[in-house]
Amino acid sequence: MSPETRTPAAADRPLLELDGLRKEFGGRNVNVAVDDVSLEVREGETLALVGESGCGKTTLTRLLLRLLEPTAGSVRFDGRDLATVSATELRAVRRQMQVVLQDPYSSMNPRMRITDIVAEPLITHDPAVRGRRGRARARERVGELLEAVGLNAGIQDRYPHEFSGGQRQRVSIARALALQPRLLVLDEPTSALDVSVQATVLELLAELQTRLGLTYVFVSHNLAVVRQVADRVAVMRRGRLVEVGEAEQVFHTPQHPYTRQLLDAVPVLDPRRGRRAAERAPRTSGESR
Amino acid sequence: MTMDRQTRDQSHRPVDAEPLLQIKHLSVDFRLATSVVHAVQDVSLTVHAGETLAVVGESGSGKSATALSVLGLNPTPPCVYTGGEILFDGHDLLKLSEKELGRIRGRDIAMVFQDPMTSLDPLQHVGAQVAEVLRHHTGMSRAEAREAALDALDEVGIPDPAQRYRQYPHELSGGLRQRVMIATALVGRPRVLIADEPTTALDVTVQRQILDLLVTLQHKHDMAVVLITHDLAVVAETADRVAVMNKGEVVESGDVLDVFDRPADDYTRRLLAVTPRLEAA
Ligand SMILES: Nc1ncnc2c1ncn2[C@@H]1O[C@H](COP(=O)(O)OP(=O)(O)O)[C@@H](O)[C@H]1O
Ligand SMILES: Nc1ncnc2c1ncn2[C@@H]1O[C@H](COP(=O)(O)OP(=O)(O)O)[C@@H](O)[C@H]1O
Ligand SMILES: [Mg+2]
Ligand SMILES: [Mg+2]
Repeated sequence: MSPETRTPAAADRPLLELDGLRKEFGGRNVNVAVDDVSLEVREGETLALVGESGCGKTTLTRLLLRLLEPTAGSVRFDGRDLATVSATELRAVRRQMQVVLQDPYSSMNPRMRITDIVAEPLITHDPAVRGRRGRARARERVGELLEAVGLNAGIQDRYPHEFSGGQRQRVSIARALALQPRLLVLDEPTSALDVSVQATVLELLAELQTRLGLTYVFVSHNLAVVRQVADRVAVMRRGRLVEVGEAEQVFHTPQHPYTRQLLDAVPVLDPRRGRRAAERAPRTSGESR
Repeated sequence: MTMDRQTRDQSHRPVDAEPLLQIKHLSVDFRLATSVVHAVQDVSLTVHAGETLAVVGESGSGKSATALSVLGLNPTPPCVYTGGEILFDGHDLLKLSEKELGRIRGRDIAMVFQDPMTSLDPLQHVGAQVAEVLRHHTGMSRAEAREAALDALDEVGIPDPAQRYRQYPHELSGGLRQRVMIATALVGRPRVLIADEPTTALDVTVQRQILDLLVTLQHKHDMAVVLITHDLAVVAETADRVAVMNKGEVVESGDVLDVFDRPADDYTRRLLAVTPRLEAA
């Protein structure tokens, strides 16, 4: 990545700063999907955004990716206000922020080969991989990316439908990494996957983060998954952030009643500690919390 | 083992009671144009009165195909029942005619699904749908059925039933729709409720309410519940016994405490290991 697009982050300046973000949808019956959201994301951390469906998580990510114009408020990436940067600069910033969605299949053209799916962002942004000479270079790069996400470089000429959900999610991660971004927005990246596949994808994401120094905004409705991945947690409800804090703090001493309500609702993976623990008392005395 | 169950079992059934529903060596194929899917292979499950049996497994493991077999609801073709029996009240359900099964559905064994929209009529008021099921099962008059349907909506925790009675399914939230479906399933006072991923599409707070509701109604009506889920945490919270399915087979089954404490099968162990938990690892 060229030096003019990647300024060394000032140690204490957040990579991403959201300030007073608001998004209204609709005409007469205005729906405030995002309401006065201010949030900072530090370089190298995983900030988890959690909340129930419809609370505005995806809309917030689209605002921060500048795929959607905010009604009010600002987004700063690496110190630059995305509303005021030049078109060239916005392009440069955009390639540093990539997104992985819940259902990779719906965002993949089923008639494109894996190689073209992964190479697409490269071809859009990098003249060096265009043309006949570039083609070989692109394939080489795609091979590296596929291997980085645990896939075989030899699958380049195959089509998405030939792969499982977990493998397709790896393909979309490879694609998101093509431009060497600093920030990955992961919007429910494992919600459509079986738990055993989810575990391997989460493992991959952790490994990539360490190796590449990536910053994650990890969107999920699943608090148990968030518990596993987050450094910090932002809890969203009806467009607003009700609580933001270190993961340890939010899970152990939640400050907002809504956070407590969410945590209490999560089923506990222990037949001695869940709601029916009392019924099981005769066999569990002394072992429960 | 027997002692354990006796001490902690809150239901009144004697431990050695006859099972209410018994699936024995069930095998189900789907015969497609170019291939055959062995969806269920030699599956045996036992359900006692009043208890909750959870059937857990990842997608495609054959949970739904097994459940749908009980009421003959797999589409035939492509479904072919290639072996086994499903015993209820001395009958093999697999051998019953469609008409005989129709009498069992709803009245003895009822089912709820992940998506209420698949079993609710989008063009009919929800209250009328509950009333219709009641009339079908009991031969009540229209007015009696209406009253009973209002009670049923109230029982499943629908606020202001008189007003909700006249709403269409799409006007209700996912959680309320699920409650309506539970009401239609329970008005026939079935002895067995089969719930296929009833909370999978719901937010976690709504899931909690629906699971609580199912447990409450189960105790109130002394009903057996077969709860199908992909989530071991839901199993831990609700089940007396659990059967773990993988690739069409039951790989392990037993008392929920035994299976969680000492999983005997590799697949069960792996599933337990990869299920994220709220408590720090
Ligand atoms: N393009 C849009 N037009 C109108 N309303 C929208 C649009 N996108 C999202 N919304 C609304 O904004 C709210 C938040 O949605 P979303 O951000 O998708 O929530 P989440 O990702 O938390 O489930 C919802 O009420 C949704 O209906
Ligand atoms: N109607 C059907 N036609 C063809 N195949 C089916 C049908 N129903 C289920 N199957 C197949 O049977 C297997 C088991 O499916 P299912 O019982 O739905 O799994 P689960 O409910 O555990 O996710 C899968 O391979 C699935 O594709
Ligand atoms: Mg979303
Ligand atoms: Mg199913």
